[in-house]
Amino acid sequence: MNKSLTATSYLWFFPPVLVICLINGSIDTIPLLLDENLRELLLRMITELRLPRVLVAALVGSGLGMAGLLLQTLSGNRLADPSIIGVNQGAALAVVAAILLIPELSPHWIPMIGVLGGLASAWMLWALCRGTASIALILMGIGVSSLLSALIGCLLILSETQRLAMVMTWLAGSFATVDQATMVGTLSWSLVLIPASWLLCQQLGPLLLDPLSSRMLGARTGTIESLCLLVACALSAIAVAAAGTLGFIGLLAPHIARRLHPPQPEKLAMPVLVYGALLAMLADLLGRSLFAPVQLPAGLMLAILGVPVFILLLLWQQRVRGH
Amino acid sequence: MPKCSPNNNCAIRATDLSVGYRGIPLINESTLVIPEGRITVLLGANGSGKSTLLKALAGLHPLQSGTVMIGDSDLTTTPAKQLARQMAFLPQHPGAPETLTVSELVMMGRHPYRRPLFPATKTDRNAVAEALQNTDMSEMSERSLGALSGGQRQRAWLAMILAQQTDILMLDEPTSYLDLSHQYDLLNLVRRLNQLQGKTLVLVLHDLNQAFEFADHLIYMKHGKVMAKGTASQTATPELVKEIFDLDCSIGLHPQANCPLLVPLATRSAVGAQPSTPSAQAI
Repeated sequence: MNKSLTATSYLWFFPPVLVICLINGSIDTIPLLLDENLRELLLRMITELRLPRVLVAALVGSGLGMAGLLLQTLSGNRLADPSIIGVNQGAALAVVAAILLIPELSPHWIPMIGVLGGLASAWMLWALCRGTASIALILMGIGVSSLLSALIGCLLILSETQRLAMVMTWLAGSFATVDQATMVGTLSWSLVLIPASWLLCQQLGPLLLDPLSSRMLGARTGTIESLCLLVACALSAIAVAAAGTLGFIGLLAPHIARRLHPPQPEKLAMPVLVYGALLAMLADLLGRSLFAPVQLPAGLMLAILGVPVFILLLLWQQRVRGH
Repeated sequence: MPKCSPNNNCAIRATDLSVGYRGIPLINESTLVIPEGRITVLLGANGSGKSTLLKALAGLHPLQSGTVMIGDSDLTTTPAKQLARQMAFLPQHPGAPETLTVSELVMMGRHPYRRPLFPATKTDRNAVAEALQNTDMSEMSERSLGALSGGQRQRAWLAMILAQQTDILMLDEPTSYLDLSHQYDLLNLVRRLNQLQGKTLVLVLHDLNQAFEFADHLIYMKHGKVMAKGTASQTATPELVKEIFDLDCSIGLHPQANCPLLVPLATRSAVGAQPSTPSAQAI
């Protein structure tokens, strides 16, 4: 097929973006590189400040992309995405509640709390629509997600102003607060969850078919469905815990991958990981460098730049179908 | 023990079967057998429960009570992948992304055999090639499903379930949405699979004459009950057709296939009404 990229060519996008993200930012690194005395300072700055941030962005992007791919494959609906069906909001609500209600909370607990919140909302959704059609999952998810957003809003209004600023930045979806502790947390969770999601995708091929066919092929068992949901929720919850509610990558990364690669989940997994990482890294890069020294949250950049891309993709698809 | 007709080997045997929706039983059958190596056709009016029965036998519809044995294994306790190596099912409305190619679709049929994370083996590729050949789809294997006609698409799906290499194949209304000549192509293919490879086939069909011509064993259903079963020449009577389909007909003999041939007579409403005009008949 000439419209699909050859098996691995998309991987070549990754190294240059990584390098640009590491050297580019609010402090211009090029003059520092030329000065021998400052070179060491620069290296420390890159490893201690930039690397955690860029790495977390890449992991969060990959994780959200995979969560989207898993949920879309599981529900047979391309609308499914952790932020649309309320998993992100569940994680966000838990984290916001924890930050606002427990003043002496250590930031190390945030990922764990996020994961628990995300799983709780996912479990609620799963219990509500067990055995029903996929469109019910999406509709109920949208309902659950609005409900949870409303609860977050209530918490924000009822809380003290002191800690509000911290929560607001976090809610906008930003990598600005990422430090080495966040990196260690996200990295360790991702080292388990991303390979797990990749392995799951290898088993999900027949889920592309209608539900009866995939069941008859022995591919749609309760165990696999629950595992997919668990991994997808955990992935989006650690993403929320690290960088706040960063929507849209779960929708965009699989969508781009489907345009360029064959539709089987096992063939989409790797591209989705890479596109997800690229999207998050680029959103963060643009957010922090376009209007430097002002930093725009990556979540906003994603929406501002991602939505036009998304709409163009849809228009392109319609035009291809039309002819 | 109930005896399978026409021979003593059953592919599927259901005992004390009760199947229904929301707790209301639709199907209650003390014994139901699908003979091995034969073509069985389920017949009945819309809503008579034939699709539900087929799904129940395939494990796609929960049983309220009773047991279904597929060969020697119990349907409800057999692991899904093992079951998928014994029995394949083509739904009435199969669905797959239009960008999927025919060979990719057919390779899905190998899922029950594939080891996780391993590439397709030579056996897998051979099974796919054979399935494509059997359905006459070899030349179209690299086409995407969106580029196929209805008949080709149905053959691609048939190839997918053939790649599963099961002894039992279940087809839920496989001729719907096909034109007449493609319907007969498909039925001849079904017969070929049965005769050459000894596969057990269970089909839901709407056309009685096709059922009479191609089935070894017929199961007639009405309101969830099995009203009659047997070969076409044993069972095809105007009385039974009237009872099952509420249709007046006469039954003759197929000039070539030597099986019953049904000719519908004027419909009820037309008989009861004025000497019928063409438009009234059309309605």
